Amino acid sequence: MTPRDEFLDALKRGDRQSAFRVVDARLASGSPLRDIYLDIVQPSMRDIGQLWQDNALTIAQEHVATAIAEASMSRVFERTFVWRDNRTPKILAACAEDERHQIGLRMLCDLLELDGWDTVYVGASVPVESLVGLVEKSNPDAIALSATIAPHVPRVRAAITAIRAANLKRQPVIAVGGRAFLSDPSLARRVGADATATDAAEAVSLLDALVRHGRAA
Amino acid sequence: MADPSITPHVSEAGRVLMRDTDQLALAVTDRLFRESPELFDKYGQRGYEKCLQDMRYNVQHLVPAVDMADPSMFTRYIEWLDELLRARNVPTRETLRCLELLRNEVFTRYKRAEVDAINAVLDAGIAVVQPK
Repeated sequence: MTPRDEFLDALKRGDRQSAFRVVDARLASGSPLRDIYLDIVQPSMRDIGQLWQDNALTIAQEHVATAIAEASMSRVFERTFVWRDNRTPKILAACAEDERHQIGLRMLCDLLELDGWDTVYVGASVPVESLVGLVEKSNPDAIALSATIAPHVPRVRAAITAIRAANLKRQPVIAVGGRAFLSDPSLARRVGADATATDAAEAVSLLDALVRHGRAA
Repeated sequence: MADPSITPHVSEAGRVLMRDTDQLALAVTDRLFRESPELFDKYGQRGYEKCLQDMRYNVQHLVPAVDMADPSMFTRYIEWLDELLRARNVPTRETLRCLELLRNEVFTRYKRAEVDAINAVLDAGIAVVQPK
C-alpha cells in the first residue's frame, strides 16, 4: 500500500495511531509538510467525502476521520514549525456562516505560515458581523473565505459585501474556495471575490502572486 | 438557516422560498406519502422524517440558484443528491417526483414573476433526473 492508501485506511478505521505512523514515517524520510498535506491528507479527505456520499461511511465515521486528519496535520505542522520574526503579509481565513468544512482553509493557513505569512485561522461558521469586526481589528492584506454547499454561497457574498463596505485602512484581496466554487469558475467573480483556486496549493501560489507581487488575478 | 438579514439583495423569489422553506417541505412530503402510501411500508416514519429533511435541503439549495438566476447551481446539486440517494436505495423516480410536487406547490402558491423565476431553476433540476 502507498502511504496515501495507508492513511486513508487508518481514517476509515478511525485509527489515529496508524494515521500518525504514516505521517511520522513520511517526515522521517524527509517529505516536506506541503507534500504530506497535498499528496496524503487532501486526497484522503476527498475520498472520505465520496465514501460518505456512497453510503460506505456514516456521518459519525466521517467526523472521526476528519478529527484524525486534523490531528495528523497538527502533528506535522508542529514538527515543521520554525520561529520567525516579521511575518508578512497577513491573511485571515474563515468559513461562511453555518459552513463547517474548515480543513481546506486550515491547510492553506499552515502552508502560508510556513511560507512566512502571518495567518489568522478563524475556521468554521463565522457570523458576518463578527467576521467584519475581526477584519477591522486585524487589518489583513488578504482574506480567504470558504463554502462547501450552494446555500452557503449567498453568505460568502454577504460577507464580501460587508467587508467591502467596512471602514478599512486598505482593501484586502479576497479569495474564495471550497466545493461550491469548484465546478463554476465564474461564481467567484459573481459573489464579488478577486480570485478563486481549486485546492490549497493553487491558492498559495495565487495569493503569493496577488498579494506579494501585486499581480492581477 | 435562511436568515434574510444576512443575505442582502436577495430577490423576491429567493425571499419567499427562504420564508416558506418548512411549509413547502411539509406540503411536498405529505403529498408524496399520500399519493404513494406504499412509501410508508418501504421507509416507515423514519423515512418520512428523512424525506421532510431532504425537502428542506432541496428548497435551501434552490434559493441561491434562484437568487443568482443560475440553474447550474441547482442541477449540480441534484446530480449529487441523486447519486447520494441511490447509494441509500432511494430510486431516481422518487427524487423526480419530489421535484415535480415542489414545482406544483410553487405554482399554486406564488405570483407569476416568482413562479417563473423559481420554476425555471426547478425545471432544469427535473431534467437531470427525468428518464432519458
